[in-house]
Amino acid sequence: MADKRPTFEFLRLLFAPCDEIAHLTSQSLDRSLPWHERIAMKVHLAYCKACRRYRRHALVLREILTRYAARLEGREPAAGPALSPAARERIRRALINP
Amino acid sequence: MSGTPDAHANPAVDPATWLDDHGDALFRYALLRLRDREKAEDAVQECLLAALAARERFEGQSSERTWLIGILKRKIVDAIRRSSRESPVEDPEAAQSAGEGFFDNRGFWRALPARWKGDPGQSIEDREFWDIFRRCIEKLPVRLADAFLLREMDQMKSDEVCQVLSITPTNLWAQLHRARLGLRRCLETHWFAGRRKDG
Repeated sequence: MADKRPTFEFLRLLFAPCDEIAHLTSQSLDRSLPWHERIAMKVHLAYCKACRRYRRHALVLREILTRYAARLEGREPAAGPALSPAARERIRRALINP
Repeated sequence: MSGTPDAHANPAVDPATWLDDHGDALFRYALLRLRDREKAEDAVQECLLAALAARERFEGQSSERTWLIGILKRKIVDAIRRSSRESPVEDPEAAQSAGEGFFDNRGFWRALPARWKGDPGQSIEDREFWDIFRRCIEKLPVRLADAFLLREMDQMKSDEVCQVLSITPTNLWAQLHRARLGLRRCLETHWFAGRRKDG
C-alpha cells in the first residue's frame, strides 16, 4: 500500500468502507498518519457516526487507562480489588525473612 | 552512599510500611497485567523483595509508590519480552484481517458502536467497572492484551512496544486495532450501554 502514489491512494480511501477507515482511526492513535490517510479519514468520520464513535471509544479507553495508571502510581486512591489477607500475610513473612 | 545513615538520607524508605501503603496498588496493577490472582500476588512479593534488596538505590526524587510500581512494571515487561522471544507470533496477514468478525464482507460494521451513556471517564472510580474491565481484558488473546496495555497503560511508544513483543509496526497496529475493537464491544455490552441509566 505504501508504494502507491498518495493522490491515488487518497482517492481510493475516500470511497473505502468502514473496516479500512476504522483501522486507520485506530492507527492514528499510534503513529502520525500521512496527509492522504489523515484527510480521507477525517472526511469519512464527518459523515459516519459509527466510525466516529469507534474513535471516541478508543480515546475514552486511552483516557481511562492513563488516569488509572497515574492513580496507581500516585497518592489518589484507585478503585479495584485488594490483596487477600492470606496473601498479605504470606508476603509480610517473606519480607521479614527474605 | 556518603556515610549518612540510610534512614536519614531516605526518610521515605521504610520497608515495614510498604505492604500496607502500596500493597493494594501494586496488586491492582499486577492483576490487570497478569490476569491471574496468584501470579499477581507472586509479582507483588517479588517486587517488594527486589525493592528491599535495592532500597539503598532509591533516590527519593520520585515517590516511594512510583518507585515500587516502576520495579513491578519492569518485571512485567521483562516477562512479556521473554515469552515473546520464545514464541514470536508474526502474522503477515494481520493487517488485512485485523477487523475480522467485526465487519461484514462489504466492510460495514456488523454491530454499530452505541452511544456510551453518562460520563465514561467517571467509570474509573467504580470498583465494579474494573472487575468488568478485567474480565473483558481476559477475553482478549494474551498478545493483544499485552500490546494494548503496554501502549495505553504504560504509555510506551509504538516502536518500544514492537521491540518488547518482537513484532513489526504493521503487526502492532493490527493488534492494537483488534484489541480496541474487542475491548470496546465487551465494555459496551457489560457496562457502558447496559447498566448505566444515568445518561
